[in-house]
Formats: sequence, structure tokens, C-alpha cells
Amino acid sequence: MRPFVTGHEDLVHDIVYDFYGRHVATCSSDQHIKVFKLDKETNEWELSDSWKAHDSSIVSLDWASPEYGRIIASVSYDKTIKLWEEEPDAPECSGRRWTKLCTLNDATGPLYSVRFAPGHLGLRLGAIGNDGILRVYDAVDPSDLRSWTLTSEVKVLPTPPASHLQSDFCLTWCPSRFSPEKLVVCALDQALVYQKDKAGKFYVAAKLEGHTGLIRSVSWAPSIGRWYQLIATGCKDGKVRIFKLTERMQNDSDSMSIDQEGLQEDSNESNSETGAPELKVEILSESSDHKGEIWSVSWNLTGTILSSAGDDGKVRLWKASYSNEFKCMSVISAQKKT
Amino acid sequence: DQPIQEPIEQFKGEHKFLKFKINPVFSNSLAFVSGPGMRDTKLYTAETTLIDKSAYYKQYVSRLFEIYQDLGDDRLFTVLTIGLINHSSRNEHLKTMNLALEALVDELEILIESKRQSSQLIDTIELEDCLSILNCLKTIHFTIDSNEKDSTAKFFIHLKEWINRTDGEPSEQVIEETFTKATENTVYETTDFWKLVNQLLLRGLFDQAIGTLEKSNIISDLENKCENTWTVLKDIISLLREYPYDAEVAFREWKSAMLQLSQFYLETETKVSPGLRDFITDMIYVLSGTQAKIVQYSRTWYECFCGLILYYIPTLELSEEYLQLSLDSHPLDVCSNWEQACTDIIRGKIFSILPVLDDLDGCTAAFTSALCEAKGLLDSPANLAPEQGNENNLDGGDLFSSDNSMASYLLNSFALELCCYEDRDLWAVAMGMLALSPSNNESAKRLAIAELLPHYPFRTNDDIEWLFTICAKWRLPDVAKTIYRILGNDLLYQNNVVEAMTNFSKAGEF
Repeated sequence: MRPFVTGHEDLVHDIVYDFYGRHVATCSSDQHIKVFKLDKETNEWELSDSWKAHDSSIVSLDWASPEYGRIIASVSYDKTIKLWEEEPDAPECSGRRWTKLCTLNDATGPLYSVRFAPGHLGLRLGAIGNDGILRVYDAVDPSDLRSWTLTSEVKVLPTPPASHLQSDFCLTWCPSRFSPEKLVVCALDQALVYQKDKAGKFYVAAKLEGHTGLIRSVSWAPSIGRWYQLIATGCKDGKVRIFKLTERMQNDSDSMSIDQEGLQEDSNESNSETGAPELKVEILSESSDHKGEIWSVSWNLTGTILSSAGDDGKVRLWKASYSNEFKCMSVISAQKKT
Repeated sequence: DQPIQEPIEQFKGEHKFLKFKINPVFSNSLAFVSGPGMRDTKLYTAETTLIDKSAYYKQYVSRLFEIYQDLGDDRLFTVLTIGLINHSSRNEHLKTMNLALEALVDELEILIESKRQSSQLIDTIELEDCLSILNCLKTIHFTIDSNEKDSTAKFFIHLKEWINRTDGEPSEQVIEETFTKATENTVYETTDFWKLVNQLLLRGLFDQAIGTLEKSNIISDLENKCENTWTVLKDIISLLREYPYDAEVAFREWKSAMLQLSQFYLETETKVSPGLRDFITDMIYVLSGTQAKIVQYSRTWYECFCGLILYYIPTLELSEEYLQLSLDSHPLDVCSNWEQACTDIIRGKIFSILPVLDDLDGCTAAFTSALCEAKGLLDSPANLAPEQGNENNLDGGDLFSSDNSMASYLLNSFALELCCYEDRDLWAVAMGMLALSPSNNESAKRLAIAELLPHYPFRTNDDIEWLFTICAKWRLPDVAKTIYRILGNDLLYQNNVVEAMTNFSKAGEF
């Protein structure tokens, strides 16, 4: 593996690429965000800028769609979400290239995860933290990026977790242009799929069951050429899980003659009022190959390959066969050979 | 330099963790290890790619796409069931498909040769296995049926190419050793020599077999020593030089001549050693198609198969029997990537070879399956019934459902892999593959292209024009607006305000 030094002075929590994969942003407990860009000639990553962004550990960050410009959102244990915009005229590595657009401080506990919604839904982001509440914000007027409105607030956990216990939260949006808006929110060992009802309110449309430990990572696959959705989770219980989510339109009479298997009773009731598609969840794959905690899962651009990284010091790549079984196609060891 | 330098237990004990995130451009994906208080966390680029990134491979992909694209209507397999059945158009179709597969195989050979010359030998092992499979496919299913004048002669050429390219035996080293090992006896008195000669004959390497006989001086030695044996050997060499590649009738005469020679040698007196007489007798038995001798002198099932075709009766109608006889005495090597696939090809189980080919090389698998489908060797979408109980069967399923043919599946899969590289030419091939894949489902194709297009790594104005051409062709106005907005912001970032505003207004922002 070819390395480059980030320069962070403490634990790095997350890295996120921009839309085209030519920049990567990193965040750390050293309260800094760093942005690196890929040099086209040398194919090496170079530091573009670094700045102190929060007053506590920065745990998650995300890039907005390039439809809205060069924008990053970051969240921290300091309970704030901050939005940043790149100033192309500022010199690189000056610490001034990214200016703060605004600070959102509605959270009452440390924040763990932030993700922008896909661009076709507008300039929108979701964040969740230790207060157990999902908050969704919109930049109602994209020409005024300093003004963000809290458009949804959803209690994901009935009560916040005890502060002395380990917890973890993450979220990911469905990236598909042709599927109604939805996202999956993971809080502790629960994974809930939210959809919007007729009134535009989020409700739990499905659950991804079976986790017996903290969910460390969740990733929603791009569904290119597929009518169903795939969501992967990486869990402290040592398993990489891949869930298949199928949507059935409410007013499709052919689909009414059905197979109720796998549908939750409460989601049935709410679906009949919502007009939104019913979601059916099935687990496609469950693997303990890593024999230890899974720290990250991520899908490739086309949603055909999943990566997982675990406590065995290995990265695994998974691909579906013709019969839709996910198999490990490659193992990359991150450990020094002895 | 690896991310984890210490033993795993220590790594976990220090509460460190490993994370990996796939980049939209797959080969730029990054891994990192971090932990509390850890300074100087590094990001690591994993040296892993889905497909070969070399210029040679890119050219291979482009050429295969061109071969497929140039087929035009021949890409689809149709069986005329009503009206005037036009036999000549069917033959034309078969001929076109056969030429297309030949072209594909030629491109694969060029790729292998290019890599070999640039010292990328390791990468060629799997490609050689692909070639073994494709050469077998070409021989058995893409040669004879076009009913052209020279198709029978071509069949033998393809057969020999297939068998001899697979393992390169007998190697120069083996031939050398055969001659140098014979220290006490003359080389043509040794078992190894006749094993070599028969191996060459079974593989159809007539010139090499004749050359080996001449090099051993057997002909010149026997001229004065044993006229009968000398005459028989000379006749054998003449017959070999006249092997009837292009006519069934001529083969009967040829075999009849060989059988007469065999009879003559059995009845005649000779002045050679009994051992040598036996060797020569065996050789004649092989050449006159005696199955037991062909089996005895073959080292592998494919040598045996080739020998039976060359000398027993050269017809594919007996290929199943030949294969069974060959495998009974020479089981295939289960560790080999290509042997099972070739036996499947001979048995007509084309479907079974596709996963093997796909493991070896996705591009080769995709286009080979497409040609097989176009030729009617694989099920086409029209023949596949919609999957029972598929409640999301919108217009016949999505691009990867089992409603689609294997060829569609492989073409679509490989197309998506091509989009994971920041290569605009490969993107263009990917869009072309999606558009031309034999899937019935145009709306699924359209939606897939709509999802992919904004990710196209445009750089020049030509790239941008191409994007909008695709949007227009596939009726994707919303995707066009997304692209206009991306362009607008890109231009704003470059301080080009006027052009940025133009793009925003095209996106309907004002």
C-alpha cells in the first residue's frame, strides 16, 4: 500500500471523497479538517488546506453534491454542525480556503454522523448524535447558503443512551434518483429506514434486523440498473450484513396478492395511510469472515462492489454472483508481513 | 509500508481500528488506521484494481466493443419460422458470427503478445487460459457450420491451434532431452523418442514429427539396413504430407491407405530390432485410428481427443464419444482453469463456461457470451420466461434480474465496472455496451444511464457535448439540468461568472 501522511495530531475518525473522487476530506479528534486533492500528473494526494473547525473531536463530515458548489458539512462532539464553503481565490494551505457558512446548534448531545441527501432532493443534510434525534436541515434558498432551516426532527431512540456507555450512530441516504426519498439511521444496535408520508413527515418504513452490537458503519448502494435497494452494515458483533430492500407501490393492484412475509405490522398500518411504497426487507448476506468488529463498509460508484474493513486487519471486497449471492472476491491485508 | 505494523492482538489492545473507503474512481480508494492519541495517521492507497488499467487492455476492450457494434442486426439471434425461409441469410449470419469470434480471438492474442513484450508475463497467465477456452469454442462451434468451402480445412487449423497453444508441449527442452539422453542406443531405439513422435502426431504437428524422424537419421540409416521399413516410413511421411484437410471422401481413401500400410508391415519381414519394429507398428496403428493406441500414446485427454478426430473419423458428430473415451483414460486436471470449460464446450454446455471466463477476464466473458447468444448457443431474452413471483417485474425486470440473458448480465456488469475508472474512452464504451446489450428492458437501461451520467469525469467541451448528446438520445432532461448545474458551479469556481450564469439558466434556475 502507498501511504501519505495526513498530518493530523490525533485520532482520524473519517475520510470522505467528493463527488468525482478527486478530493478527500479528513476529520480528527485534533479538531481539524484537512482537504487533500489528487494531482492529475503524479497521481499523488497533496494537502489543499487544513483548519481548526470545531472545539472538540470532529467525528464525521460529508461533501455536498457539486450541483450546489464546493460545500462540506462537519459534526463534532461539541454538539454543532458546521457548513463550509471553499474560496477558490484563497491560497492553498493557508487555513483560510474554507470559510464557515453557518453553525447549526440544535443538538443537545455530541454529534456522530452527518450526510448530505442526494442532489436531486435539494441542498439537504441529515445529522444524528447522542441525543438520539435525527435532524434534517434544508438550505431553502441555495443562493443563500448561510441560511439553513430545520425541516425535520425525529426521535430515533426513545431515550438518549447513558453517557458512560459506548454508543455509535450513523446514517446514509438512498442515492437513487428514481426512488422516493428515504434514509437509514443507525442508533446503537438499531437500523431504521425512514420514508416520508403524504404530509412530508418521516416515519419508520422498515427495520434492518439482526444486529447484536453497535452498528459502526452503514452504506446505501447506488442502485444502477436494479429495481431494488441494497444497504450494508458493519457491526461490532463481527458481521457484515447486506440487506435487500424492495419497494411495492401502494396502488399497484398486482402487488396486493402478496406474501406478507417480512413486513412489519406497524409499518403496514402506516403504509396504508402514507401513500408511500411499502418496503420489504430481506437479508441477502451475513458474514463473519473478519472474525472481529467491522469498522467500515462502503459501496463503489455503481453499487456492485462492497468493501468492509475489520479487526482482523483486512479489507474484504464483496461482489454478487449471477444468482445474487454475495461472495468475497478479494482480501487485502493491511498488516505488515512477518 | 503497511498500515498495521504490530501484531493484531496488540493493534486491538491499543483500541486502534482499520477503515477503508471506496473512491468513485476505484483505484484511488484509501485505507487508514487510527487510534486514540495517534499522531501522523497516514492514508494508504491499496494497490487493487477491478480491471487491467494498461493501454493494451483498454485497446482490447475498445476493439471488442467495435467488433460487437459492427455486427449490427446480427447481434440478435432470430429463428425464422414463417414465410420463405432464407437459408442463405442464415448461412450469412453464421459466417458473420464465426468471423466475429475469430476477430475476438485475434484481439486476445494481440493483447497477450503486447503484454508479453512489455514483460507483463504474470498478467498473461489468465489470458492464456481464456485463449484456451476460446480456441476450443471457435473450433467446436464457430467453424464448420458456416458451410463455406474452406470450413473443414479451417476446422483442422483451429483444432491444432487450440490443442497446441494450451500447454506448448512438447517443449524444446523435452525434444532436446530426448535426443541427448540417448547415450547408449541410437535415439530411435528409445521409448522416449517414439513417445515424442506420437505425441507430435496426435497433436497434428506433422512437420515437426517428420522433422524429428529426419533428425534422428532413421530414414538414412534404414535405407541400407531394412528396405521394407524404410519404404513404410517414406510412405507414412508422404501420407502425412497429404493429409486430407478439406474433404471427407478423401479421408476415407487416406485412412484406407494407412490401413493397407499397417497390414503390409504386419505381414512383411524386417531386419530391424523387434523393439524398433514394435515402435513403428504402434505409430502406424495410431495413424490408422486404432483407439487403444491413440489412448496409450496420449498424455492428456485433449491430445487423445485430437488424435481421435484426426485419425479415427474426423467428425464432430462423434465428439461426445471421443471425449468420454479420452476422459476415461486421462481424467482432466481439476486444478486447471480451462480444461473443465473445454469439456463443457465439447458437450454443448456453453452456459457453464461463462462463470469460468468471467473469473479470468470480464471483458472476454461479456463479449464471448454476447457472440454465443447472437449465434443461438445461449438463451436470448426472447426465450426467457419472466421469473415467477417477481412482484417487481416492471417491464421484464431490471438489468441484472434472471429475466435477462447471461450475455446481458455480463455485458451490463462489465459496463458498470468500466465506469469505475476515470477514463472517458472506457466510459463511452460502457454507455455503448449498456445501449447495445441484448436486454429487452429499455427503461431499465435508460434509468441506469441516468444514474451514471452525472458521474462522467468530463474535462473538455467535447466531453460535455457528448454528455448532452447522451441525455438527448435517452430523453433525460432532468439529468441534463443536473449537469448544467454542476457545470455552472464549476465555472463559478473558476471565476467565469458569465458562462456560469448561462449554464444555470439552462438548468432552469432563473
